[in-house]
Amino acid sequence: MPALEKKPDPDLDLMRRVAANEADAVAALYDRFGSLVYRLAYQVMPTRADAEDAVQEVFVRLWRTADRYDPKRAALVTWVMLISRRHLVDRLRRARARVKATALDEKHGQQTQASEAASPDAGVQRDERFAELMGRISRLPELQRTVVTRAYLGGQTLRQIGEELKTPIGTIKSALSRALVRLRERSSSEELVS
Amino acid sequence: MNMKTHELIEMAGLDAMGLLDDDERDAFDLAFRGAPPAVQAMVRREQARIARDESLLPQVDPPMGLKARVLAAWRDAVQAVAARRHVAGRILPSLMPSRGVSPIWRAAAIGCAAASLVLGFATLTMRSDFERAMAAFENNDWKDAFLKRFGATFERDFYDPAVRRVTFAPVAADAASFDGKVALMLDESGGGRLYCTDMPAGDGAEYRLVLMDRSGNIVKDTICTIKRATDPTQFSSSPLDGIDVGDGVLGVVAVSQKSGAITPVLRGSL
Repeated sequence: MPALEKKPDPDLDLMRRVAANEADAVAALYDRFGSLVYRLAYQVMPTRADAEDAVQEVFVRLWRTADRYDPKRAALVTWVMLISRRHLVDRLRRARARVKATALDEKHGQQTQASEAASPDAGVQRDERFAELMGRISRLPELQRTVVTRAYLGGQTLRQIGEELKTPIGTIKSALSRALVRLRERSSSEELVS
Repeated sequence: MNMKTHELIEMAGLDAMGLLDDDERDAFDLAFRGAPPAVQAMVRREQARIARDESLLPQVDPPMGLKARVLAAWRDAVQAVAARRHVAGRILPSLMPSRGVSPIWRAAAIGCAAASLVLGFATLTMRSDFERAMAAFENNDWKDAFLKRFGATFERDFYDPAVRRVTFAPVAADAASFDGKVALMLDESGGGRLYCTDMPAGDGAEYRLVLMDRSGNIVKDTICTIKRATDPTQFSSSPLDGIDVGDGVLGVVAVSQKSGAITPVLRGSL
């Protein structure tokens, strides 16, 4: 029986080419993930300009760390999104422009506006879909709403949230998991209806 | 740490979203590495599914021109790195011919040439040490040993481009017999972490980080002691603050508890 040839990993090959400073490879990386990274940055950053700057920095960071990508550890999309999230959280912390999560903690119900959940000057730059998401978040039970806002939008870790809310980390973890499942379910059902 | 498959999957989701603290990531990383290949594949799929999930992201398209700006920012970064390397390569000024100059200038030029030779030799020696240290550190055995022991805490430092590494390699005489591994990571905030693993217990030997001159003589004793612990030693400020490394090298020495003999075992480079 002939020996099986090891299949080349296209993601690993791409990241090796990125690490080797090949402009085509960086362009290909952007083509694959630029939109995803931009949406994430747009959601987290207070302004569109900040989001665009952040996307540029993320791709530079991806280039700097390209030689460390290990396909056995994670798929490329996971790696890209993890680097992106870490960079965005670092950027938020550096700029002291963290999402004001307390806005959603305190305001219940539908009257909570997307702009209040993000930052005071960000409202005009949020799109309709994001407002819908914030509306869905505002309809979650209180703990789930608080946790998902602080963790998903504010970049806080579960430990930090647990300490601030004086709640066991297991409870925080469960609340976040349930909240994300609910949000995804609602998102899917609303798409079906529309 | 034992983690059931459903716990591993739950942690995988949170990890993919960057929501785990250091120790949670450590635990997750250890559990992932210890999991069967089929479970690892499941975790990878779950993380990829979450990473690709756009249901919670706003429905916006990147503006026209962002790709060009991303590529321009990348080119700037590449050029900045190349420029730094170019400047670093211009350590020694070129020596001009010295016909028709005064004897004082000629003597000065000869002195400079001699100093350049000494400096060049020292540079070559340091480079050789550095390359040996880097080669040893980049060796997968080293990386894997640290990853296995310290998990995500080490991984984060290793992969963070802002963290400076001080790497260590066995001194030549003990290269084959000494298994201990040490790495010092210095972060942007001025703090750092010292990692060590596989340090032989011997006769209760104590290990110390020291500063040595080029001949291996200890110039500054005990920058810090190296503890064999499951967690890295944390520094709120760099242990190298206030120390003029100058032409010296950092080293690790073993101090025998019985005889008090001090033996260099590892040599490092900034």
